[in-house]
Amino acid sequence: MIRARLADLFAAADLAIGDDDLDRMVALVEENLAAGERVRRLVERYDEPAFGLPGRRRAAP
Amino acid sequence: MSRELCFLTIAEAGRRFRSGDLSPVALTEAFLARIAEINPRIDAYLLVTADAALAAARTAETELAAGRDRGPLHGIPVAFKDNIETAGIRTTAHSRVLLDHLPAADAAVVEKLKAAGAVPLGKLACLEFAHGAPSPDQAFPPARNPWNPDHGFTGGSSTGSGAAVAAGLAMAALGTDTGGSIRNPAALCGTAGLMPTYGRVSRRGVIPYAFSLDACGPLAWTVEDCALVLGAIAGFDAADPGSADLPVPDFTAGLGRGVAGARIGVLRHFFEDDMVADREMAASIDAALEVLAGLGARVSEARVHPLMDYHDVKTLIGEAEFFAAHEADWLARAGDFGASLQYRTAEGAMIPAVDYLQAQRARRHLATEMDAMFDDFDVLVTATVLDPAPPMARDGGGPRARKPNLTQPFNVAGVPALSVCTGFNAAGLPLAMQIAGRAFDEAAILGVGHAYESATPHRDRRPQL
Repeated sequence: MIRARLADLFAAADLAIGDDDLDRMVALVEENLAAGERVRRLVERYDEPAFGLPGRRRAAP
Repeated sequence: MSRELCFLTIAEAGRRFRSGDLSPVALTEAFLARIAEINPRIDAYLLVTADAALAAARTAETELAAGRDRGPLHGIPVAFKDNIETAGIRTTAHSRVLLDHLPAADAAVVEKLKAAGAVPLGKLACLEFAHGAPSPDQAFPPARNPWNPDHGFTGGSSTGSGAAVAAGLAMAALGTDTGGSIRNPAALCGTAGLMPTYGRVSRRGVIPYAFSLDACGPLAWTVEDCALVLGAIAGFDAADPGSADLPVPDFTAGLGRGVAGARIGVLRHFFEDDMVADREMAASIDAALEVLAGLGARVSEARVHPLMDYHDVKTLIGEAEFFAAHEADWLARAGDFGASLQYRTAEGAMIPAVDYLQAQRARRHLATEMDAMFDDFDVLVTATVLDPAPPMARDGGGPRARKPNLTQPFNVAGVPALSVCTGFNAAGLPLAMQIAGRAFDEAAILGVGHAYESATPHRDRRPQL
């Protein structure tokens, strides 16, 4: 599925991509999905407020 | 004589202007002559604005002679990374996509430096959109490292900023930093480089990489000069939604105080366990810590989450935000992106929204942990880079796996971080350490960096070009 989505994405941008590069792109996307799984370890169930722009957060009185 | 003038610090040049021993026009002419001589060997500049520089220098000279002193940047030659917009002057971000881009207005940081009387020398090379990698299909050649101009990489993404300052082609340069893009070239080119706190310096007019991570700051030969430039560019800007409405202190005020009693935490696990630094790099950091301890600092170990956690968070946020910023151009004219960036941009399109949001939530935990470190320490020290300048990659930029780097944690946490030269390896390439501090306490890291520089001879050595 990742491979097909990438192929569609490159086709939408009218870019050619060879099989080897597509294989490497699939590996990079899989690694990013694994990173997405890993960051969930750092998050608790309801630990909101989740985030804010640091500048604003720290600028608050 | 010209070479000597180009290797003055900002502080030294300012003193000579005010004693009548040197004029801004003479200094600017020296820089323009040196750029003409040296730049063809290192390609730091994409565009030299000689006429604008000389006009600004003449104005500075007239004003200083009349007693109208705009402060420490008055008459000082500076240059801008080419992702920082300059009114009516081509701003490409080193990309074919923007070859015809003539901004209508100056970026906030350019406005501020002009108001401070600085002399704009031109626009500097960078990695494409501050995110690509050198590849032969790009519109401009990559900047080369002045310490090894035949094949040395400068570090990125503020490639030309590091190269220009090290080679004496600008007294200071502005760079941008999303995951280390000021500090990496500073380290590999042997300059000082400061990423200010997120929100300290306006990004209005800076072409974005990642909205919630981007920062803009100075590279200069000395920490003191970084402090002077930061003082000129810092401050609230309602047009930047990340900008912090806080007072701007005099960042040079505490530079002479020394480090006696300062609490320094060493994030050694970043470069000994999570990743392993080059032997000479690690040894130079140990030697630097001994210098600081000898000056009275209290040095002890510190520990935060592993580098990989910061890397995961930065990658998910950075790639997704990069695609959001550049999606329209990528879909309409991806062929104008360099080969490397074509692939990197596509990565961002494949990050699920929920992963991006979980990364932002995780970021909060990491930032909270980092903030708490400053209850126990005044500054944190770690390596800036694992290795000295590597050879320039020549692979044309296919899809490439990325590794954690030592600079990302401080972008994720939104705290300021400074790279300082810690000497040279056996091959003559610069080594460096990184000093990070609590949010909006740039003065603390500048103070430690300045104390270290003042106690060591590394600022006396320049590349031989």
